[in-house]
Amino acid sequence: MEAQWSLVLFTVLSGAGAWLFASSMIQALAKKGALPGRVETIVSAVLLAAGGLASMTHLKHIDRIFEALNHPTSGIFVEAAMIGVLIVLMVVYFALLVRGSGKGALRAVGAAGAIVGIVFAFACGYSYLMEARQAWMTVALPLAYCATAGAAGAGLNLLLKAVGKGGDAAAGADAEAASAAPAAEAADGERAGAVSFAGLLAAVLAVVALLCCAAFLIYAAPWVAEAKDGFVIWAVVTFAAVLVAAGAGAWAWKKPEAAGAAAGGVAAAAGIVCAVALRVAMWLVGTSLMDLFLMPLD
Amino acid sequence: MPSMARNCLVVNLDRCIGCYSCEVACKMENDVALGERWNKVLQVEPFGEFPDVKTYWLPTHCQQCEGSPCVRVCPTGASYRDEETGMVLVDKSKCIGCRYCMMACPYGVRSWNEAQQVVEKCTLCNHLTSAGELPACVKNCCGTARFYGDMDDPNSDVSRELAKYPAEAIHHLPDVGNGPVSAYILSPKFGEWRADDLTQQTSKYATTEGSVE
Repeated sequence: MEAQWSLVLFTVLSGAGAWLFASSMIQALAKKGALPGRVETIVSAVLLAAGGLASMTHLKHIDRIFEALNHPTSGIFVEAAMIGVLIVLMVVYFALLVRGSGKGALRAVGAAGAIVGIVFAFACGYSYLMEARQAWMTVALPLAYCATAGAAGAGLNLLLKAVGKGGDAAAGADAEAASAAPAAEAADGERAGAVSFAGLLAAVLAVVALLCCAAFLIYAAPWVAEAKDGFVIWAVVTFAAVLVAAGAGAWAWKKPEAAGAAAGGVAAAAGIVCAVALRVAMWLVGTSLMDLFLMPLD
Repeated sequence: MPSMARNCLVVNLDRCIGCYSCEVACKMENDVALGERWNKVLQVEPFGEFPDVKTYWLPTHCQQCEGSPCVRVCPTGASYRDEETGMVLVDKSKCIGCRYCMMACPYGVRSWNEAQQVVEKCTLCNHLTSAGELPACVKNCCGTARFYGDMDDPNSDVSRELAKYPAEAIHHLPDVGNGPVSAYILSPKFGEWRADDLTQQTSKYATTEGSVE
């Protein structure tokens, strides 16, 4: 069937936003960087909101949107509820940051945001598991949705870590070590360490995305003959982009000071391209079991 | 608590002459616009080697699936199963036009109402059947090939018609876990059931040529 661009943008933007915050939080919990700062939180929230708005553009009766509260077990309801919860958590986290609250509260709310975000990215793909679209009936699809959103989000995290100053929470894992060394040198070292770990995270998530995309596309291979034109191109773009994202992440991991923002920019762009391409390929290969009325969805 | 009825259509393809009366009657009764349909007759193209060639017509419509994926995915409850009749119906006042149900229907037998921007489908003419009448397609079938009733009622028209035939003559559209309730009768002497060859993956024999539009 034809690519549904509203839904592609929805899942890419909101998934990348969710994973940007989650990546930053994972980094902080691993004691390899500061807690997510204002910039990460704002960019995540903006991406989530933009994704949510994109999803609205394919509805023909937005005036009836609150009817969506009627069926809490449908995939669309779950996605809508989770994105709402996620944005609320972002707002609460941001308020705690601004108020200068303790790290315990920030960690608790941040960890909740990271978990909800990752589950949300998976749920976006899980909604497409339906008997009518046999090419989609594999758990590799939601895993690929989650992992490609992860590659995009981790790429954005790397970019922000590379261009930023280490986050507002300013309480990285190495803060104690920093207090013992000359301040500027310690800050540079801490920043390089954060960029390096962000690069490692971006590379790992890109490799996971590569495996998940391969698993999905191999599963969908029997339906390629019925796929819409362009499927093969989008599948190739998926793999090419995810390899670029992995390479950029690895570069930043090994040479954080030299790679810096360039690697972050490439990883973010390639991650987003990979996420878009995987979704478009999914739509193009998603022919219905039968299409007896030949009724287009567009 | 009484169990839910399983009202549906049964089409006896041994008797179907491919006249498209059911399509026309459906459109007229339900005011279905041009280019939209709740019911469509396909010709399963001639198959076999000359001179042993066979063909038959396959009227298609909502199969009233027990698992009804359309109901499961609908975010608003606009697609629902009526508790009394067991019919899968659409409450158009709740439809937000996401068309997720159309995506989830394994047979592609839901219709998009362009004017109202909502999804529609065969209602088994519930405005008629609730008043004790037959659906328009059943009433107007000149081959007496269409039957309406409750599969769980042994005295219903559908049960009595199915009871006349051996198991090998009774068919359903391919079941991918959705559990279609509607059934077709096609005796081996009239044709070979080819529905498994009508999927998009194996599409070999179906043609829309001759359909009323």
